[in-house]
Amino acid sequence: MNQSEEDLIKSVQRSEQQAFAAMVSMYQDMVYNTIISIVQNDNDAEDITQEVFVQVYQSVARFKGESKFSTWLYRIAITKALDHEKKRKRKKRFAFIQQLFGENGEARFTPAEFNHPGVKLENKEDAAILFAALKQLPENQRIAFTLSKIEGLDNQEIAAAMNTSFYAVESLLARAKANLKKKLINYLQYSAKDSSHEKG
Amino acid sequence: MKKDENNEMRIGDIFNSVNGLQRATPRPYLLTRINARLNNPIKNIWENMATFISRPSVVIAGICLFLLVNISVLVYKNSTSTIPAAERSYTTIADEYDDYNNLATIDNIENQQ
Repeated sequence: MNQSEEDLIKSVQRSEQQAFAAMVSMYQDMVYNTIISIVQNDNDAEDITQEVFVQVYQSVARFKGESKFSTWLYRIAITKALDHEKKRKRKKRFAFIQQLFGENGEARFTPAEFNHPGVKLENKEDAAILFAALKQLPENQRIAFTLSKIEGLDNQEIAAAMNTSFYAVESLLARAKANLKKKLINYLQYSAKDSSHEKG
Repeated sequence: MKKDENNEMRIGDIFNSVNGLQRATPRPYLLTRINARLNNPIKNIWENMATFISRPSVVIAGICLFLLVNISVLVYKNSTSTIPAAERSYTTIADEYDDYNNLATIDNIENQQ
C-alpha cells in the first residue's frame, strides 16, 4: 500500500467526508466493473456498488491494512454480488407467490443477452456469447475467470481476493476455461444446426 | 476435421473478445446516491421483524405449520378418542356373554311355554 492510499484510508477512518469522496472516485470503476461482470445487469450493478461503498464507510475502521485495500474491496464486492445472485434466484423461484401477495410483485426481467459497456464495438457479439456462457459456470470458476480476464488481476491477487491459495486459483481458471470451451462448442454446434435448418 | 478447426478458431475469437476491454463506469453522481443511502435512518428491530413476517415465504410456512399442527391433533384425537384396544376386547367379550345369556333366557321361556 502506498503512502497516499494509506493516508486516504486513515482519513476515511476518521470519517472525513472529502477523503471518502476521493476514495469513491478512485475505486468506483474497479468495483462497478467487477460487479457488472458478475451480475450482468447495469441497474443491479449500480445498486450493489452503492451497497459496497456504504459497507466500506461503515466498516473501514476495522480495516487493519493486513491485505491491500483493493483486495479488501474486491472481497466485499464479490460477496455482495454473489449475495445478490442468490437473492435473485430465490426471487425467481417465488415470483409467482410474490405476485399473489402483491409485494412489489412483478417478476424481474432478466435480459437474455448482456453487453458489457467496455467491450469494443466489433467484439460485442462474441463478448455477449462469452458472458452468457460464463453465467452458466459454477460460482468460484466464474469469479476467478472474471477477475483474471475482465479485471486483469494476476493469480496471486485473485487468490487474495478469493481468500484461497495460488494453486486453487490455477485449477479454478483451468476448469473455467475447459467448461467454457465445452459450452461454446455446444453453442456453435446448435447454432450451425439452426442455420442449416433455416437454409433448408 | 475442417469444421473442428473452424470451431476452435471461433472459440479463440470469443475468448479474445474481452481483450482490451475498458472498465465499465457507473452513472454520474454515484457519491450523492451513496451519501443518500448513508443518511437514511436504519430500520429498527420491530420494522425489520414486520418486514420478515410479511415475507410470502414466512407467511406460507406459517400457514403450513398451522395446518400441520391441526391435522396432527385431529389424527391423534381420532386414534385415542375410543376405548383403548385391550379394554375394547374385554367389552366385546362381555357384550357377547350378555347376548348369550339373553338368548338362553329366551330359550327357557319358550321351553316353559
